[in-house]
Amino acid sequence: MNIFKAIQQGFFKVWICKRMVLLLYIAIFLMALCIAYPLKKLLESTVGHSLMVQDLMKGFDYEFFNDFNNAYGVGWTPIFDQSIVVVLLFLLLYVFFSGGIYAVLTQVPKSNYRAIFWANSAQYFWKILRLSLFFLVIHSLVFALFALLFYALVNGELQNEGVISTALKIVLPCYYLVALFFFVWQDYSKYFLVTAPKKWIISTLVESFRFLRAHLMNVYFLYLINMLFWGVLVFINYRITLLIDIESYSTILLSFFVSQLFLLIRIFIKLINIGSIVSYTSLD
Amino acid sequence: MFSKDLFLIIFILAYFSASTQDTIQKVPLSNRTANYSIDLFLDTNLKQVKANQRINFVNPSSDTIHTMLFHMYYNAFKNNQSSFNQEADRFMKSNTDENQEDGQWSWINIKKVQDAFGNNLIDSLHYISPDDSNHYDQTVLQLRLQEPILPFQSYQVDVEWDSKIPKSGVRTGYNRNYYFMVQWYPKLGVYEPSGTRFATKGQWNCHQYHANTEYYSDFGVYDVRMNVPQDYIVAASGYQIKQELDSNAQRSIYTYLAEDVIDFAWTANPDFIVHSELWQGIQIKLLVMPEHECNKDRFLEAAKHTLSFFESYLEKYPYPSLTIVSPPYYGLFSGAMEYPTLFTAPTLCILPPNIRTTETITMHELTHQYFMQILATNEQEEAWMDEGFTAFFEAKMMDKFYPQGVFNIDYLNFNLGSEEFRRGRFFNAENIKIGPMSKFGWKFKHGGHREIVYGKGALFLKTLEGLVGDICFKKIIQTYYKRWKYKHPCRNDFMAVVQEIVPQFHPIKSKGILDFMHQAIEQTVECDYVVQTVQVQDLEQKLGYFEDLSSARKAQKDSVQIYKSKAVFFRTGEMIVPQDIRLFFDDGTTAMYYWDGKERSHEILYTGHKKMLAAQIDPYYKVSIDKNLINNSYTLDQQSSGIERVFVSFMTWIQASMITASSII
Ligand SMILES: [Zn+2]
Repeated sequence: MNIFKAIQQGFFKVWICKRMVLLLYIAIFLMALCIAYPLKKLLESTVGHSLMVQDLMKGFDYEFFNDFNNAYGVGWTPIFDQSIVVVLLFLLLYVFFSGGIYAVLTQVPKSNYRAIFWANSAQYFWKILRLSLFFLVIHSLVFALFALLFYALVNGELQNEGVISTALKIVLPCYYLVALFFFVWQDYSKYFLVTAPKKWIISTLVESFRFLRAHLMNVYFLYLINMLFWGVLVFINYRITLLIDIESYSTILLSFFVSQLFLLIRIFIKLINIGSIVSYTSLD
Repeated sequence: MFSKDLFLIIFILAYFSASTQDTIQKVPLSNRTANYSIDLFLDTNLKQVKANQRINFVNPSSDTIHTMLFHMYYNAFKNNQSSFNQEADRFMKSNTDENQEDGQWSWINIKKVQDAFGNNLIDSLHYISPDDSNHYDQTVLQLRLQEPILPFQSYQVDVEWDSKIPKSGVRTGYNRNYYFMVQWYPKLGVYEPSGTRFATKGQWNCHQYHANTEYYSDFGVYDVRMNVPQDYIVAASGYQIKQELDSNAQRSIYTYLAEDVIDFAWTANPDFIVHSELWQGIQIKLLVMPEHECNKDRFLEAAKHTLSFFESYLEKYPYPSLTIVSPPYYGLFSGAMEYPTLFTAPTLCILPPNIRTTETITMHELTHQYFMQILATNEQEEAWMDEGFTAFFEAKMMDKFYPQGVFNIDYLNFNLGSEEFRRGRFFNAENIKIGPMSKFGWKFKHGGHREIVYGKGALFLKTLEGLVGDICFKKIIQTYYKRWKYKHPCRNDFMAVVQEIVPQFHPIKSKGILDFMHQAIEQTVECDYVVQTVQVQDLEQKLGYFEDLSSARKAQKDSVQIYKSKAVFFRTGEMIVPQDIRLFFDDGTTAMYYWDGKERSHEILYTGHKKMLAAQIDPYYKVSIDKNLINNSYTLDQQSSGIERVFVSFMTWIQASMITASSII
């Protein structure tokens, strides 16, 4: 089975290039800090001397957040605006990194690792950006199509709310399967874009589409397995989060380290997905 | 002129003449002023009701009455110029074209009126608009009598009428084969003798039908026969006496008797599944659609909790039956509404068990049986006296019986308690000062009615309970209930009870508490108390020459450090509420102070070996009407642990969101 071999090879490729995982993690960490730190400062300056802050130790406190929102909520606006800007910047950064990630995972270089990464990041930035914008439009259209389908199914006066849940049960899996194809297509296009550069993106799209058509079941299956890894990881993360009873600084730190570890693994799995795509395509 | 004794004799005779029908209550619970006997025919093809109605009214006063006023609620949907539709333009806009063409416009029309003397009074009817002089509004009908109603005398009038039922109306109407019939018949207003509520002379209290408000009516006996298609299942206020089949006409006739109630509601639908059980002498009936049966036990459990709670808090539910109607999805127009011995409680089986709206609605609507059905306040003028009380008790019961809250998830221990949810809904209002609780419902022209009557009403009671304590509060409610059940109390009557009871428990603090009550009910002031700061100064040892020049004071190594601590409190809101203050010291001890809360700023000084670490206003969360509880305390040192916790969680969410968002790239 090529698929499992691809995953195995993907894993080893990412393991060899684990500095890339670290780079992504650090970028995400620093950018998230740009959003979270102002919130910390806002809380300290507005409510830092309130005994009610202790209630936050046990988790979400509706009364606290409601009163905070009403009394000091104006402070949210710049943080919210800033967070949008930072997330957009991160997405741009990820577009930039994509060329390097695909190139490094394809070549798995023994030397000149950094040079290959940065050179390919810079070289394919504009092309991958255009590709991403193209797929952004496609993803939105697919979403809108299924949203319309859902709306059509539940439009008008319903016999009961079961119609809504039935419609969801039909529309959601269909959407998932169809949308997945475009995500897969996007990932394989990036691979072909970096490994077999063409003048026009459209040529790359056609090339990757042909490849997908020839290997549809396998690439779907490969993607689903990677999604499954991700799902299992998120579930384990959630269960472990519930186990940690936060009562003191040390438990806050513990929960922080645990969550950071899981975030690191999530990035790792994300790159394994790319690694396995690269491996599968080259195995073929 | 009548003497007082003669009044009494006539009154007793009138009373017995009004109650010679079948009875369930061995002893009447109320004065039974407005009594109805109705025979109705439901035409499911034309969506109409045709009815013959006999009204037996007992003059509760020493006045001679020359007119009668009736509510004609269905005329609120007669055209778009009615006061209801003018006020509820949001509803009008949201209603579909199909509904507007196909039966949104509905009406009620009297065809014949005749008094007991045989006088035909059809020409003595005319519509009036006592609230807003809107001539297009036909929701209040005045009947000029040929024979006056003598003091304490009963008066009988027979009315023949028909009505067009609104499609998916507000609270009432039909959709498909679901009928929810409330405010559906010509209903008498309330004759208020001088001294009742705010009446300075005998008067009819009969307001037009407004979008915000609905009820005020008198107690009586309803004897109603409902003729419906044979396959329809009917439930109604009161108790089912019999069900007869007219197999030739393929019709069923349901007979219901409701005693000592202020209104009569009924519903019909062929698809209802009926669950009925006798619980502690009460016939509890649940009418539910097959697709909602999954929540059957949730309804029944919440209803039983509520009945038990009020049995111990006030009095056992006094009626022999209780009907819960869970409407179909396409019947959600009937909302979550309360009527005597019957209420609607929508539910959805797609809602997970950690969302407890089914329980919340059941508790809320059932509580209305006490607040507004038994303590029959005027919902049109003082809605907070039923919604505020009901919301308060609903939250109290929810937090007691469902401590996980109206909604909870394990992640981050998210738990939304009923009381805090109510509090939030008030303080999140666009304008919490839009009007006092004492403002008439329809005068809230620019919104805010719900927030004030539900939210502020409940918060006021919660704060009152906090200030006077559980035992005193319970005594207030019990006294109020005992004194005013099956009558029409107003806010002055409730405040009089508070004024009577509170000094018995709090002889010194009572004035502050009573002042708070007046501010909360009659004014729009908001409450906010703040601990502005806590400061601590190390007192330096006195060194050098002072009175005596012969020797200078030297530093003493073993002397104990003295601190001068100061806590400063602000009253930033206009409302004045007596406050408890707690001070925290570095040796782990605390000290309590009382502040009458009147000054705009206040300070407490402490000089001694102990260092003040924090000050807290209202440490026992008595004053939940305070709009910002966060500034009710101040610590000398910054409290960082809770903030770190938020910071760490927030940071992690942002990181996770970024990784997820990168999937689209
Ligand atoms: Zn209510």
